[in-house]
Amino acid sequence: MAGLVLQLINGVLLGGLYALTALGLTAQFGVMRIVNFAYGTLFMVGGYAGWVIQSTLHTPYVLTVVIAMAIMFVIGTGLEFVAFRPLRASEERTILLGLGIMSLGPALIILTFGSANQLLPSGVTGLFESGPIVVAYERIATVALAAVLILAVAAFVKFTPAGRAVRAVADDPVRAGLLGISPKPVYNITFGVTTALSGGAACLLATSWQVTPTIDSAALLISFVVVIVGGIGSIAGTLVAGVLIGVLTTLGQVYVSQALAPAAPFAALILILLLRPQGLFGRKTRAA
Amino acid sequence: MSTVQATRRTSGIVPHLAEAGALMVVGLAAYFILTSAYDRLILSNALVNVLLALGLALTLRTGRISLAQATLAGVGAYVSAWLSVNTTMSLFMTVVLGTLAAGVIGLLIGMLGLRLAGFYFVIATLAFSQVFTVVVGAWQNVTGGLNGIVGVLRFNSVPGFDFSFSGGYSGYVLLLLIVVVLAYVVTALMTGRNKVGRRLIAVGDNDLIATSVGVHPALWRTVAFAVGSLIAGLAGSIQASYLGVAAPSTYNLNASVLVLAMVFLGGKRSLPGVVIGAVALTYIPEWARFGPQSQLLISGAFFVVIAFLLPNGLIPTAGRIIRRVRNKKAQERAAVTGVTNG
Repeated sequence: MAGLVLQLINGVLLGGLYALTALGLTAQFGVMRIVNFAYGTLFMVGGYAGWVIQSTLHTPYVLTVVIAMAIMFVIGTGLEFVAFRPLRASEERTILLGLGIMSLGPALIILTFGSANQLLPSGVTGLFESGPIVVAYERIATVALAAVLILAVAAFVKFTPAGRAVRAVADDPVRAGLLGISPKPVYNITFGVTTALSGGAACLLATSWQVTPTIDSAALLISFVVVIVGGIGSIAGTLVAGVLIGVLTTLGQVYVSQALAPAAPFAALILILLLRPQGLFGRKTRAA
Repeated sequence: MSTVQATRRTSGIVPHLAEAGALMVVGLAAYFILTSAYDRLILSNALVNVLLALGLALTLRTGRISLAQATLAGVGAYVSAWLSVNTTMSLFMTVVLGTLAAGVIGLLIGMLGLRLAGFYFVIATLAFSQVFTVVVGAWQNVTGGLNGIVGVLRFNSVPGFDFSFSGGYSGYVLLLLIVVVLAYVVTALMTGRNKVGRRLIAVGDNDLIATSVGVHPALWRTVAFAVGSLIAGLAGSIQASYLGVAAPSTYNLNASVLVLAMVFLGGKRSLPGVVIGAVALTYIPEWARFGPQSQLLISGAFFVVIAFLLPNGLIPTAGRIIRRVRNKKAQERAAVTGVTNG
């Protein structure tokens, strides 16, 4: 029983990081209405940015995450302007562009940095112990950071004038334009912020995943699954689905099979597609 | 203008027969020009890729993108390989069952993902590719893990039949014949020469209009994807029996992405386009082996180029340029004659 409780805690902690990982993708879906197959690649680049910064500048961990996110914001806005904006009108061409970046990314990373696993330590050490429950402080700290970022995004969208503009564009870009909110800069900033979020998530997950050229596909798939299970564009849905997938993966690893555990999120995806395609928190109109 | 199009439509069957015939002749000629066993092996792989690309083109015609085409070939390859190693079935039976297995899986994926908006299906096929890789890696006592299933029944097991690249070529001719026939069938569907084809086109062009004339989009998309999956399963089963092995790296997500690049490179709605795209993207990664990353770099670069410059593919774009030049010349000629007359 204590073992199960411990695994549940581990699953929730992992799921918090999954939720942050998928948050950017759900915002891109919800606000920009694009399917971004380059998302995992940008996540990976964020992880490498963090690793390069920390190993060359020896910055403290939190500062590393902040700088990596700033870099990813610049990369995101630039990429939106150069590549995604011209192709916006066609979903097919956007998908092809994303697949191109998805294929190029790991190859270029391996050619630049090699295929070795790189460490991005947080510097937080020690274990929280309470009877049979043992959790590394590092995991608690990274999830706390993720929670801060998720709450910041939720508060920004809900309470600020800029957040209201984002919601207006997400709701109906044409009507928002008529009301004086130009969708283009909103898309640009949204892509930048969401890319920064994925970079931050990569730095936080790097404490348990490490930084490798294969984290891109793992991040992309988990994000897609979390977004669909949670319901497109819903922050609450992303949180719940992230935790759900985290718990499923952790329990699968312990109680089913280490090798088969990566398939656990897809079991959830298939169930959702069968029973509730609009997602747990989604609105029905989006699914059809 | 309308008369030109009308004549083109009524005489549409002839060029496609000619295309299929040309494919047969070129395929045979290539085999006898290339004499080394290695070249002939790559040529056979190119034909398998043509089959995969044809199957995928059907799904693309209905307006959906799949990232599971090579993976479905993997289903066919693994099922037929497992049957041929673990049972006493004949080669014919293993290929048939491998093909059907891929068709059934494709049908299930289609029923699950094709009733929803487009991106759900892309993601569902992406997820299926990943699950396949995970399961093949984990289920070692059945799939052989990273080594794959070795010792698959080969074409020589059938009396009078051979597919050895150095000696007999009846297996190659059979594969080529299958490619030509299926190329003809798929083109007939994609150009709307029959009822089923016209329904696929209606669904691909506009969901709403298709529904309004009684054509059910999800149903016909599922039909197209299931047929494409059958073709993929057949291609995979044949490949396993001439390679003698079903290995996981042949059928992973990167391979599926490469098949998608093949169809888009040549032109997803043109038979010569699909064939040229498949052959080109079989050979280019073979020639340009500058490292283990070469295949990813090549398909990635092609995708970026296609997305920005060639959304219709090489062949239709080339055709449009030629027509434009011709029209310009005709106009110039008309202008010149107009001046002399006036």
